Amino acid sequence: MKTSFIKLVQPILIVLSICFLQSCKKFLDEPVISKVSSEYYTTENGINALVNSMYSRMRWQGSGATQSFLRMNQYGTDTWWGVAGNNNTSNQAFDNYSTAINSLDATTIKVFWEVNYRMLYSANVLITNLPSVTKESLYKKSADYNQALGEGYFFRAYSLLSLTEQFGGIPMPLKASDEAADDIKRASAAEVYKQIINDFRSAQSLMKDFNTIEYGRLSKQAAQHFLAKSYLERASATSVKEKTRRGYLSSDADSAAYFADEVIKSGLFAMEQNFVNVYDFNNAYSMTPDRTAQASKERIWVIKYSKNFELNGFGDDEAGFMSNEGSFPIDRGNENARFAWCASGYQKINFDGLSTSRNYLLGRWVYTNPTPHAFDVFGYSPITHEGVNSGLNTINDYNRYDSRMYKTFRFTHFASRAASTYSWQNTNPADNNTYNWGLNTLFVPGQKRFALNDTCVSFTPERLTLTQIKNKYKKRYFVYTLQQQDDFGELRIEDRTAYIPSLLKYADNERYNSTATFDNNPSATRSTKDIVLARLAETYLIAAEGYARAGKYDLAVARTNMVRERAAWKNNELRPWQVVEVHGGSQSGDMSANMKITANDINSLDKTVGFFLDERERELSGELNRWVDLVRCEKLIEYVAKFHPLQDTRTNVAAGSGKYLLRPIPQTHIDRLRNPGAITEEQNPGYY
Amino acid sequence: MIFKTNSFPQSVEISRKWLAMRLIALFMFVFSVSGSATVFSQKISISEKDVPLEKVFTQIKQQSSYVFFYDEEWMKQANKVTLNVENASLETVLKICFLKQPLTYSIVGNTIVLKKVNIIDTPPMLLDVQVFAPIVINGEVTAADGKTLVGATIKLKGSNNIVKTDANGNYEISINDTKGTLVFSYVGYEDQEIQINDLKVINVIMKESVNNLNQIVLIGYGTARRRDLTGSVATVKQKDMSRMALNDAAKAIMGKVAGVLVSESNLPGGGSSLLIRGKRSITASNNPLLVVDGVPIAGADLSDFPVSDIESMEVLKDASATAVYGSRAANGVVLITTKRGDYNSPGKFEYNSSVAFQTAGNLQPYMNPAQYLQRNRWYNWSQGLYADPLNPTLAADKTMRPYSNGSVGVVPFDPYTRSFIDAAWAGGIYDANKLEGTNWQDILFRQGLVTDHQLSFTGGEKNIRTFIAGGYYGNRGFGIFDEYKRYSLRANIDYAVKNWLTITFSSSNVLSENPSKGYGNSTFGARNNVSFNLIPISKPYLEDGSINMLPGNDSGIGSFLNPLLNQNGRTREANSSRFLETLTTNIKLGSGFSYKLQASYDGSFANDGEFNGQYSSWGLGNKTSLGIGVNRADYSVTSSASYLMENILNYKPELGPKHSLSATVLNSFQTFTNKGLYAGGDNNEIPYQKWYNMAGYPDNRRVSSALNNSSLESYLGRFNYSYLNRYILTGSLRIDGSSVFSTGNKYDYFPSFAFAWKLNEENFIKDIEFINQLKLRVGYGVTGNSAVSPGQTLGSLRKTAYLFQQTLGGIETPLFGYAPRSLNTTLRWEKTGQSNIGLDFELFKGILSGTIDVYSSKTTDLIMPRKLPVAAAGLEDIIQNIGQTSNKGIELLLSSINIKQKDFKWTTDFTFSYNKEAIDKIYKEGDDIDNGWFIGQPLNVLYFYDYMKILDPLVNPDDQATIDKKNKAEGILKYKNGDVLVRDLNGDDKITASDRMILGQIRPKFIGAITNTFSYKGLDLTFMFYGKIGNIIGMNYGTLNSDRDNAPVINYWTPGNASATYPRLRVGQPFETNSIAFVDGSYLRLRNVNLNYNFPAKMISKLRLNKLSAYIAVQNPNLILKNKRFIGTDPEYASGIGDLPQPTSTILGLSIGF
Repeated sequence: MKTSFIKLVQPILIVLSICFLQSCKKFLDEPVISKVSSEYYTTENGINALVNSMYSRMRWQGSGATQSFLRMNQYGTDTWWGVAGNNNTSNQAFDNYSTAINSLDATTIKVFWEVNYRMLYSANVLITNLPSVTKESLYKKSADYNQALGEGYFFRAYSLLSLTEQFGGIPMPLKASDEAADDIKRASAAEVYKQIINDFRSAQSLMKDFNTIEYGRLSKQAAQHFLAKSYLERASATSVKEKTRRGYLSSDADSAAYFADEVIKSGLFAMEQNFVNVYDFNNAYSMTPDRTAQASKERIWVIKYSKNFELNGFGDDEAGFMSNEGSFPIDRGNENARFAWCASGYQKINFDGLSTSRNYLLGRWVYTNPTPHAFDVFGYSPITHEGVNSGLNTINDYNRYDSRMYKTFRFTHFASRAASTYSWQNTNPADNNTYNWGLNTLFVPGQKRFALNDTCVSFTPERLTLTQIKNKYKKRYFVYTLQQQDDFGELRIEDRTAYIPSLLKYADNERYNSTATFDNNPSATRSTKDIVLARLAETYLIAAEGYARAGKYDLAVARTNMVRERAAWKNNELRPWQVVEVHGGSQSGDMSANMKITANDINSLDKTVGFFLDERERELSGELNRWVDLVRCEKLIEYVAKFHPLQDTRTNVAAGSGKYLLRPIPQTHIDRLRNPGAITEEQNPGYY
Repeated sequence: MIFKTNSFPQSVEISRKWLAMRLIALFMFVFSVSGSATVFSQKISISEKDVPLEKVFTQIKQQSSYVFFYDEEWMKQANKVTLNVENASLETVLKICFLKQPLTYSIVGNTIVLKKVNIIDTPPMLLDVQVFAPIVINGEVTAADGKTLVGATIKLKGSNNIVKTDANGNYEISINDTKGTLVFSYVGYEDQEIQINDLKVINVIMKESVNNLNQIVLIGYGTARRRDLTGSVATVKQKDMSRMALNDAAKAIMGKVAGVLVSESNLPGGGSSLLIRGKRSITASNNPLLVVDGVPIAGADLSDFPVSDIESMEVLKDASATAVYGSRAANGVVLITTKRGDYNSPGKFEYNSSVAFQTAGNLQPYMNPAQYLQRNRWYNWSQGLYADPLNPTLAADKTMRPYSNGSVGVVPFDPYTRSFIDAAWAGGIYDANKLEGTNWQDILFRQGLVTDHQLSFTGGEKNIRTFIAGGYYGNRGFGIFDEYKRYSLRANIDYAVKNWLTITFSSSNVLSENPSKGYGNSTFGARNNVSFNLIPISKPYLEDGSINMLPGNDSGIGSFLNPLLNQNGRTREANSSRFLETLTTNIKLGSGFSYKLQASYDGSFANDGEFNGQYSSWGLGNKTSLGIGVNRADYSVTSSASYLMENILNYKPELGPKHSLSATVLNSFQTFTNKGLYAGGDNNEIPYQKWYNMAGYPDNRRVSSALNNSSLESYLGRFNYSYLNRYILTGSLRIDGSSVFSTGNKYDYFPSFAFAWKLNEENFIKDIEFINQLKLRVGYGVTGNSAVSPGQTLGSLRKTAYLFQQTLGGIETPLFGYAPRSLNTTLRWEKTGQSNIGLDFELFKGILSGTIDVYSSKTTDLIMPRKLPVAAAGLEDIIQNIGQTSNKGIELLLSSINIKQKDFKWTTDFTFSYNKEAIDKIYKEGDDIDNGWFIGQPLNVLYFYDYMKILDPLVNPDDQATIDKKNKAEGILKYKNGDVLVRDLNGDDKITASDRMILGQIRPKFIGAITNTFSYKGLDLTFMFYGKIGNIIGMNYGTLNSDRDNAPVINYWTPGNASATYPRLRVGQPFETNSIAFVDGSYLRLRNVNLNYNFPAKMISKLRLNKLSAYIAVQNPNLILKNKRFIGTDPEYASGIGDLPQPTSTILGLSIGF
């Protein structure tokens, strides 16, 4: 029996001892198969992958998921407001400057903060890793190496710029490490601006010239554009306090103009002849946008979107973002949601079969709308210097020369619902509607009021009461006034969400829905239009403002007029009826000559600041830079207190003793610091 | 009838034939259930002295249906027989008859075949028995139910003369003195002492121990008697699980085992999770390790193992008990033992069946149409849009704004909804009773049904025993789209090849189907949620009987679609299977050594297909511009496999009566592999293909796959030493290595020791009469836990996509990138060191018994995704071994026999536990508010503003001053009448972030249960009360301030409503209003009631059965005491109104053995 034991146990003991002897080192090895580890960043391909991921991350600026970018750059200004009745607390907070703008905000401020710092981290990883990648390769001497390093510097500067514009002094890590860094002090805004300018300078010296082969890639000129913009930000400080805070140098204005001129002089870009082409429309009446402008020579840098669902994504995984890891191999299929951000509420106009089907040109969700003042800005007359800030019931006639208001906003809607185009009838609920003035000369009970594609709604910038407008306009279509007033002259705030033209700049007919099907249905919420981050017209305005602030008015006038002449109604250009009927213009003639300004328009600091703030709005309206511009020029409190439609906002911003010029540092940041300093050190004034 | 043969050859050939005959007989037996039922249920009574064997045969024939088959010649050599049995089993009678015969027998069908004794047929174990002795006493040891007890010890009192029963339960002991006393003992049974008094045959029927201290208990890589335990181990027996129509054995632990928090899923087929002795890990799993028949299971889900297959469950709680499982044992260990057959036992079938009727319990009512309309009036009133809700007018109702979403001026109700309102205004007078609508909860819930059928066979021969069971469990959910089915098959076979070699095979095979589908737009939409997304003034069907797609007529798509659309619009098929196969070889090596080789395979396969048709809520929610719904299919196939090989060497030397030692050495290798493939796509033109032709979906194609591997390598040494059976010392050391950690951090050590002192064996206690058992246990151990997934330490990157474009409409250059994510190469196991002091006692002859355990544990090196200041680190969080938590607690288990009379018995079991969790250390000094980690506080606390009251100057004039003061401080008119006042901690009259405080913990401080059982004859009535005390619930009380949604019936503030418990309706509530969501979550409930009837033995035998019982039970009757401010389905687990309620079940069950 004993022998049989041994026979049986022997093989087992052998198996056992083999396992022991090997110590099973291999047994516990872990091959990574389905994933990619961070060691990838030590290779040339890995560096390219890292650069690419930063481009993807830029798409957060079009994220509909958080709208953080929108809230922080456009709400609560003189020309844009979060409309009344939008009871999203975060939207209200940033529009009203209420106590709800606070450090606890988890979706607006926190997301803005974290996205930019993640970008900063990626850039730091790149800048830190790049030298070690290149030991043995020729890569280091190649233009690709310089380009990648330049992109690293660019994205770092870009993140720092975005952050300091909103938060002032901020933590400024410049190295990546695997250590779990949890202690950092804020650098002063002056230090941050200095770093931004250094990084943009490095970037513009390293990167290649703009080329159309890799349309969308950063270039020397893109870096120069933002370098100029950064100089201008510092140069815009007028008070002593702000000059100190930003680290103002007297040469900043010149530097801004110099680098902006470098972009202009490169000859790689050209302005569109017609302002409307910058944004994909052939003319001011277009129902559907085309996409010719997607390759406009005016564009210096854009965030790219593709019609290929697979190539769209944020490249980010913060809370609140669509995080697809696990279900999809890559982050993809996310949208540019901007097309819905600056449109009117659809419900009113669409109500009870009023001939238009719900669509995004007409409006959808209500986020921001232009304020009455936004339309006043377009009426600025360099000849009379009148128009701006004037009281009610005046018409700003300058729109007979400047085409931009009618090319920026949709002033006319067309009947788009074939089946139920609106009939003249007394019993229709819409007849009880205040805005129906059915008893005009065209009234035939029971007859269709519109045929498909007829104009059915049009806006006038006149300031008329309801009765006045009813009496004045006996048209087949509805005429609404932008300054919707009741018969007592009160501004009807509630109605402004619907009776307001929608911004055309982001309108897109090539959106896809969640099933990646291209569709114009309201449910198709994913726009594939590129987001323009830098275009030549703005470069001209930066150069012009730089020169003006440096006292070189002639150069400033020359740069400005490049932009303004382009904006004029051109000969033989079809104009909206308002140009003739409201503004007293004509349907023909080239208006360029009437657009020119002279040194007299800008030859003092006050004039410079006032003129360029408004000129930028006319040119760049809705491009999500108004809030930063107002803060930059130290005009936020003054302008908002004067022009914002809501009394609450006007009161709050004025009473905030300047606290609203900076956003609160997210409480999560302070809470997570290992050794947070005193609250006065970690938080911006007014938020503790 | 007697068959006689003159010359019956006794060759090996014939034996084989006989073996074949036996097998045939076995099959006959299996397939003719009713026939065989008569065979073994027959009892025989014979009283004869010194009669020929044949005479006994005749009597047996008369009393049973058996016939005998033998050579008459043999009877001449047969010894005479003395027999005095009453109602004995045939087996017993035959055994006694053949004890001293040169013959043996076997049963084939209903024929008893005799055979001459051949030395080869002698069971090998009999060789151990001393044959040559002056006086030999023999007999049989059986249990009360006739089961033979193998290995029972028979000891001559006061000597070292000990023998054991053989495989047939027989024994022989040789003694010198016929006046001594024999002590019979068997684990789990009470010791019996019998005076010899010249008896030569002593048959003993052992009584099952009432005293659970004699229970045999699994301790991990071995067993022990409960009274020898050194660690804290709780046992749940089959009978505690069998009467509850459970799909998940874990639910049986609730209230039975102190210190375990059971969280149930209320979905059909949903498992439960167990939390033993508090939460210690923030990111790693807090689920205990599950070990099924010795195999540690990955991804433990007890619902994969049918309750009726389980013999017992042991819950190992303290670290001295769990440390043998090392790195996976920090959360405790649950050992599952499945049923096995018995050697030499007649085959038995058992059929258990139950049916349960389920309804949604504790449903939170939502506003009915009238309440909803009135709420909307008040909501509009709060915005100045409704003049006087107390005096509604038709005109005001007509222009009332129904939707706050995207609100634009006055938008009246849509015509559909308005027609209902108009009807209520018929005749110009508003009559709320005329307001028609739908209670959507009635639509979404139905009578659920659980049907459970389990059939098992148990039986064994001399050296083989089997347990075979098959079952079906089906649950038609009480939510209309929920369904679950499970099919199971188990085979446990033990083959004692030689007396030194046993081979064991266990096979568990479970298939489950879960076609449950979601209600809303998303794949698995919340169930109860839907009913408040839908407004009550609506109808589910149109007048023509078709589904009303948009019941509220709100064009807001998504969750406002009729959930019934998914009845036919969506199909789902989710099948999964699990196979657990274990092969074990036990070898006795002699000299006290034994060796066990265990190899097992645990494989799971799942496929999940879902199709959303164009009329499903998803399809319509994503329709094209032409208004046509689209379709979508998703299909995933996953598999996981784990292989385990263990070598276990046991050593148990004979060290005489004073010492006892056992030692175990083990090594173990286990690998885990997970694979998965997923495909999805949209818009198939041939929708009936569903997910079976993914190539047919041209749009939005999605595909992914993954592979994860990991492995675990372990070594263990353990010894158990006992002196005088009074002092017991245990020590163990486990070394674990895991592949998921980086090189250099792969291995770690997990030691433990424990000491037990049986005080009742000491002389100074022995004399205290009322103490029967008293044992003190002290132990300490270290265990581990890991939350690291394969590849994690390497910092996997996140893939991104972008593009550059050459020219407009030209070539797009895809740019795939990888964005950084956190990494940490220094991760190690979380380690928990736990000490435990326990006292087991039995007093007053078993009238009161119980266990008290006090424990304290510290978990260090916690693996946590620590939130980082992204500005410093660039990343939001990093996974690190940081911090330390501790758990301290007391557990009490008390059992008392309150009344014990002949026919009536009342017993009470009481479990109680208190646990205090605390975070001791985090990565920095002070609290981490953002993560919600507060030093000294439990792991999950609710940190928010402290609700005080509703400000209402109309009721309490002083409130006006408060409102004014606070508005002044805020600088705006923030507060109005009816708003919430919260505690202003810093007294600056403003509510800021610094006014938040810790409101309480989310897990209870105390858990308790009392189970009472009343028995009267065959009738048992059991009911259990269960309660939790000391936790706070952060409720989701719904969206009061959206008139688009329905809301729970809540007493909200209106002017003059002094009893309001909820604030006024308003747009843009102050942030702190949400403080009303935090309420005390303590509750006490009647958890289940069970009435069981065991039919009387006479009746059972008449029916030719050996077991018959029936029961009726009610689980979770709606008897519950809870906080009045609580809104939601159930405080037991719920956080709000959207949760699936817990079912109330009425169960009818039947158990038949034959």
